Amino acid sequence: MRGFTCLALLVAVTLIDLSVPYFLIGDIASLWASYLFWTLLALLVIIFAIAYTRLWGRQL
Amino acid sequence: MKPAFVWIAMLGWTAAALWIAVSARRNMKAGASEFFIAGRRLRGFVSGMTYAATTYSAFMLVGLVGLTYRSGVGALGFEMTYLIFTVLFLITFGPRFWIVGNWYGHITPPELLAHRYQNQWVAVAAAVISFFMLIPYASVQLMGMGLLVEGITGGEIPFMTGVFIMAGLSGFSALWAGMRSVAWTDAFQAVTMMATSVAALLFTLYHFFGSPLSFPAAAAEKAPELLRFTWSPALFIGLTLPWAFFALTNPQVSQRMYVPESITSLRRMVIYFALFGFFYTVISTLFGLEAAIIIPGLENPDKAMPQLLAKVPTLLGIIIFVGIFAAATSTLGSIILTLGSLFARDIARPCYPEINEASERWLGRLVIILLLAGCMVFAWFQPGLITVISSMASGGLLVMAPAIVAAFFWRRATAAAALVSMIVGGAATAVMYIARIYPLGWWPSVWGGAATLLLFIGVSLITRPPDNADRFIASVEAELSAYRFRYIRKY
Repeated sequence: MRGFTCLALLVAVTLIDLSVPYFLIGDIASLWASYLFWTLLALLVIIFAIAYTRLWGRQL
Repeated sequence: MKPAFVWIAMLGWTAAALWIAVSARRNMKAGASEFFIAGRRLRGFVSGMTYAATTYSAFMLVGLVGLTYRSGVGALGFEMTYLIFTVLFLITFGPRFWIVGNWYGHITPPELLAHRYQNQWVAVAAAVISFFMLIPYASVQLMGMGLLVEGITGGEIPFMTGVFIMAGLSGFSALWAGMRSVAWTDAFQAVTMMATSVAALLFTLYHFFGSPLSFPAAAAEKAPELLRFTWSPALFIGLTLPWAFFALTNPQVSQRMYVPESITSLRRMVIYFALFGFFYTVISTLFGLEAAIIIPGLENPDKAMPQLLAKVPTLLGIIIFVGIFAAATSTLGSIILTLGSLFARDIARPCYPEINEASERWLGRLVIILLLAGCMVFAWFQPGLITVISSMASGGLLVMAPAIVAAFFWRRATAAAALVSMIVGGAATAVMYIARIYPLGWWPSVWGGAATLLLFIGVSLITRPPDNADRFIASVEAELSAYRFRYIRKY
């Protein structure tokens, strides 16, 4: 991944990672709030990584 | 728990791990790279599992369970944020480390820094910082196992017996066939960790809550405060920041970016590790929430998992114990092997340039033995300070992040900047941790990281970059663009 793409992704993911629990759902006393949010966010990043690396090794 | 059961589990599992370690030596060849990074010939599954087993120590089923027990879902947020950063760093830096490592024959991460910055002292500084930060961390693995064994048998198996057995297995794995035996036993240990924790989680969910589906309602009813995110930003960022850069700054994991045999294996390593980390994190935090409901009111949250072990049938308790034993042993084995390679390649070689690879292997082995002895002495004394130094490890290693990132992305970065930022930043971070200085309530890792970054940029701007910087970065980017990371071996 290019440096700028990685940096942009890290900034975006960090903002989402912090802002949603702190400002939107942190007060909800349910497993389906912050717990589910972080679980889904990590899962999305893993799915992105699988999709992004699918062409590794194939010559352009 | 009866000591006999613990003995049977420990020795039985250790015998299986030793057999795997011995088998791993069959295809071993000569040379330092063969011993320290398995000749860059590991396949995807073994690469992914050794990466996972090295990363996830006994902290997960003891420390993270306790952290969740005490402070709720914030612990999951911290650990998942670490995983997210690691996955993104692996798909960004993994191919770069792998390509450069193959081109130039790098065996340790500091060798990459020395090559890029054209200065051997950068590697020496990185290696010394790694030793200083990782020896206490390795010692804590031994101490944790000694305490666990002593705790679950009511003191009938002494603390030091657990320490000796774990040190013996880790040492044998590292000494027998280096990375090859460590990686194969790591794979066995990772599978053990996952299988045992899944079995234990399913049992506890059915036994204590009726079914997994009933757990969310029970948690909301009996421990609602743990489902709210209550961590302060200073705590969350202070704890997460150094771990977020773990994949780059901890040599025992970054060295594993050299080991896959092909780019396909590298991709599989990333995916297998990511999936392992995801499930293991969910499982560990669910244990913490379960323990908070089943055994509330513990003064020491680190005892949540051992207390939970006391509530389950003996066989299941043994299974969980074996999983924790596997996690701690694999992390220790990987750290001592990596530190052995750092000493041989980054500290000894600059002092004695004529040293051959066979001597490097023997020197690495000698360092592994000395390290284990030192860690056992640390564990024997159980100094209070070691816990502080251990938590300092990830924060201290963060000072290497600017130099590592800039090696691939900033042509202006210089050796002087790498040296000054690592040494001054590392010293400042260590002093703040040991003296417990938290300016404005923010953790030393945050201040140390910021100071390191500013120093790195400032010194780079007033010093001259090495002549090869443009060529180094351009050649890597060209290889990545032209072949989508398909690699033509040049080394």
